[in-house]
Amino acid sequence: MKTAETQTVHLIDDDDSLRTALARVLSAAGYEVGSYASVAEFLLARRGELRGCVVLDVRMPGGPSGLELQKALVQQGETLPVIFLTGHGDIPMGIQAMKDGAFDFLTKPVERDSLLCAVAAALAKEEASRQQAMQRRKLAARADRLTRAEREVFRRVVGGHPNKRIAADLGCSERTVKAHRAQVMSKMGASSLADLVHFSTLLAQAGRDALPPA
Amino acid sequence: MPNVLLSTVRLLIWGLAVLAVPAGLAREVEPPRLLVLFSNDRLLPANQKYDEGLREALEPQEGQPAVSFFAEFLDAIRLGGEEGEDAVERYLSERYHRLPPDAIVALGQQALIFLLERRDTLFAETPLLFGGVGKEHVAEIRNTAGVAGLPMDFSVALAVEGLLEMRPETQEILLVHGSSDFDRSWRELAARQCAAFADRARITFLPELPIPELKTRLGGLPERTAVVYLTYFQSPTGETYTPAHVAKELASVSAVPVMGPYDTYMGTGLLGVSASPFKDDGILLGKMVRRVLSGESPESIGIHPPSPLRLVLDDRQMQRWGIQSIPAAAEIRYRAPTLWEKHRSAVVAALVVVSVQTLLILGLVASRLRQKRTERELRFSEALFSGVFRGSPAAISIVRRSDGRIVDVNPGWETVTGVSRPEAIGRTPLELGMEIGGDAESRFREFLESGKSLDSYEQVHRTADGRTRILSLSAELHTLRDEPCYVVVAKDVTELREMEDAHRQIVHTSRLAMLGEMTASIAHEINQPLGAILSNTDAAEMLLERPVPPLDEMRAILSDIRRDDRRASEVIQRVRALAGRREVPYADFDLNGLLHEMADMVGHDARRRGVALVREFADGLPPVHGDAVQIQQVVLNLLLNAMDAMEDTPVAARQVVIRSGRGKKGTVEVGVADCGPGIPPEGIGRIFDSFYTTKKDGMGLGLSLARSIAEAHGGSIFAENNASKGATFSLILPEGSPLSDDEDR
Repeated sequence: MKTAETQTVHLIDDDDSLRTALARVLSAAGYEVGSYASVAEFLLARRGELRGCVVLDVRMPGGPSGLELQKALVQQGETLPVIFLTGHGDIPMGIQAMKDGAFDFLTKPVERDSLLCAVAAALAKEEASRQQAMQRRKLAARADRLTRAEREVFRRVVGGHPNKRIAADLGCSERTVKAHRAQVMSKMGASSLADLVHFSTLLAQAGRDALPPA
Repeated sequence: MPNVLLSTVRLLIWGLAVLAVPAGLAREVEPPRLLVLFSNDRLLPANQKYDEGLREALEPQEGQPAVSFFAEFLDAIRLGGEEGEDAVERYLSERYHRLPPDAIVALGQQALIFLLERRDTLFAETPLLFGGVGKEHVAEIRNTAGVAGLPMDFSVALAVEGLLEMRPETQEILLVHGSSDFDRSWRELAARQCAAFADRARITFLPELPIPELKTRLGGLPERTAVVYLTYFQSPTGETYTPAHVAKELASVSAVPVMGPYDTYMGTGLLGVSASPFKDDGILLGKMVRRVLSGESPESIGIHPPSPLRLVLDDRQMQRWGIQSIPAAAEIRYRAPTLWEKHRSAVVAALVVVSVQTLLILGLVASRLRQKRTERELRFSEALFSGVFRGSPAAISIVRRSDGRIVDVNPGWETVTGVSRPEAIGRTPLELGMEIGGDAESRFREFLESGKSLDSYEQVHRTADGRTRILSLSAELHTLRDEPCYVVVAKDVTELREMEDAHRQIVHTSRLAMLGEMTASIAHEINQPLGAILSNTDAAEMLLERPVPPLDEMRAILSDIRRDDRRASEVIQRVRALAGRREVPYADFDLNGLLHEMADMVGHDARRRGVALVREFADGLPPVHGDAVQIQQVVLNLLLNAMDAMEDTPVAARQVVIRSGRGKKGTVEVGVADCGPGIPPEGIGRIFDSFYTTKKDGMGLGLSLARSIAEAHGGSIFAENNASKGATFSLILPEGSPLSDDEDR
């Protein structure tokens, strides 16, 4: 876990006084606060990889709406969690936001505890998914270094097949299979069969084939 | 120098002449004389409009003498030139020698120049006013003695701007003008005015062409071009024209829209003009003339700024060119009636025709069925009946009362129902599957037994091909071949009702949407500052927990809290102002009169729904003191509710009774009783609450409003179920007292 000082909350609300008040609560709680009056302002200010979480009013007059931003972030594969603020009559919009992958939605006026809890949970989730994404990228790079024969063996090993059957499947000797298997373990940095199975699951979650097609 | 001498001499002569004639006496009874000199000929539309305005402003008023008008025409384009003008000068000085004008008006540039140039010899001392002259031409005469006037702004800039706004795709604008000096003077003016649009469209002048060639050119113009027509007094070959007539000829053949700079071009087929109306200017100048005639010096009046230009568009032409976006400042003329307006009048006309036919048919049927007739009369009426019966487009059926079977139908009935005559005869409407609803059979039987007649009762029917139609039924019982039979005339009012429903639906939904939107926006506007206050308080608490709380920040927070609190209470005040009641002075009114009016108002609706309205009004009631319009609203609401409540009641039993009478202790009472299902037990306590309703598309506001109105009048309203069936709503109002008017003061 990182410390609170370095974590950023991006706050987007067109109402100046509400935004200022919420920013005060968040910075009093020790967060770095990025304050924006519109989605467009937020997108313009964006530099490189986004970190932290977004707190956003569902209702935004003019320009892209909160829901649109949320969709765009999800489509770009950003891991940034979005917490929506909704007014009294906007519950259906909040529900829609949740369906579209929002992290949470809070109704205004927002109690301090619910705001801080939601923000803390969102940041924790962002941290975890960032770590996972990093690991996935590492694994994918390793998997790219496997030869065609090693991939075939990898796929069958994590499928639970014994060496003998793999050798029969691939039409080679059991000794060759063992050699490939040792190569796979070392290239992927796995110390046990359990590690290897876990890696293949992570790769599958990354949206790519556990092993690139041979 | 010689000029000065000359005018001094003339002044002397002038003075002598005044002395010589006992003018003071004579002029008291003589109206002042105004000479108007027009630049062009008599029939130029601009001249006529300007003249109209002038005369309107100078019409005799109280304390103001009538003005004697003299009009002369320079006809500068046809008869101009130095020689022509010399002739006019001689003519004017001779003609007005004996009755010199008290003021002169020059209309148009040429007339003004003519009079100014010859001012030394012609009407030298007479005040000169001018109008209809381009503002560019008056700069140098601003300080001329004895001259006042109202220049005009002639500009195509507004027209070009409007054109580009309506048709942004326009790439080229062609300017068209004739060959007279005046026509050509437009060229430079228009070029200067159009310069501002050079980056949006190419501005091109068409060469000077005779009318036939010009028409061919305009007829073959490609898309994305437009024409600005300036003036065309003269062709290159010397024929003279009236510009507005040329406008009409050009607009009728042009393949693209044409705009222009004169009000008089409106209605000739041009898309629009940028102009200030000649007649309005005429009125303004007329007022200036009036001031001069009553003794003010022209210098003190001076030269006024021109009236502002307006963009005026022709609605018919906008439709011709398919124009959707209308420039905000434009004034629209010749607006065509909307489709709905046209349609409605057509439907109403058709309804009147059908109603007249229905009455005619019922009358004829009645006469046909009257027994004691001579043979000849009978035969005649039978022939007439069968002629009308067969030939009428209305659907007529004859149904036996005893068993409900159809005796005969006419071709109109066959068309409306889709059932042929042989199929229909001997069957009941039920057997033909025309009646809809589970209780159709019992309703039909009840109706037959009741022997009542129907007048425009509406019912949904099914046709042979399964469509449902709304029929308006009128039925009367007659004896036909010794048997009681119903003669039923039906007219198909489906389209009319659908149209009405659609209209009502639109009104209803837009009202609902407005209400919902308003509530949401008020909630949002209050919620925002409340949210800010809460968060600011939270932040302040958190900051206070620090070892050294930042005082500046705390102060900022407190001032923000105060500001947001004010913001929230302002919203509330705005809402209260919006919902605030209008104070209407109360007055005495006759309760029975009001009830009669309301019963008449719903009479048509009641007949349509088959509801009998019974009035039981007590005589000699004291007047009621209050706001009659509000009480009307309450009564109307109760009557409509009562009818709505009987939607599922058999037609024969639908009845609403309106009563009036004295109540307890100085009150009067209005009762409205229906025969519907009554108020459900769980509703009896809540029926006057806001947003409580038993109707499927009701808002639940009518009765709650009725209660507020009753209470504001010092009265009350309550509901109870009747002993037999249905419910009665009673409105209690205090009697008006002779003193009440004083109490209000």
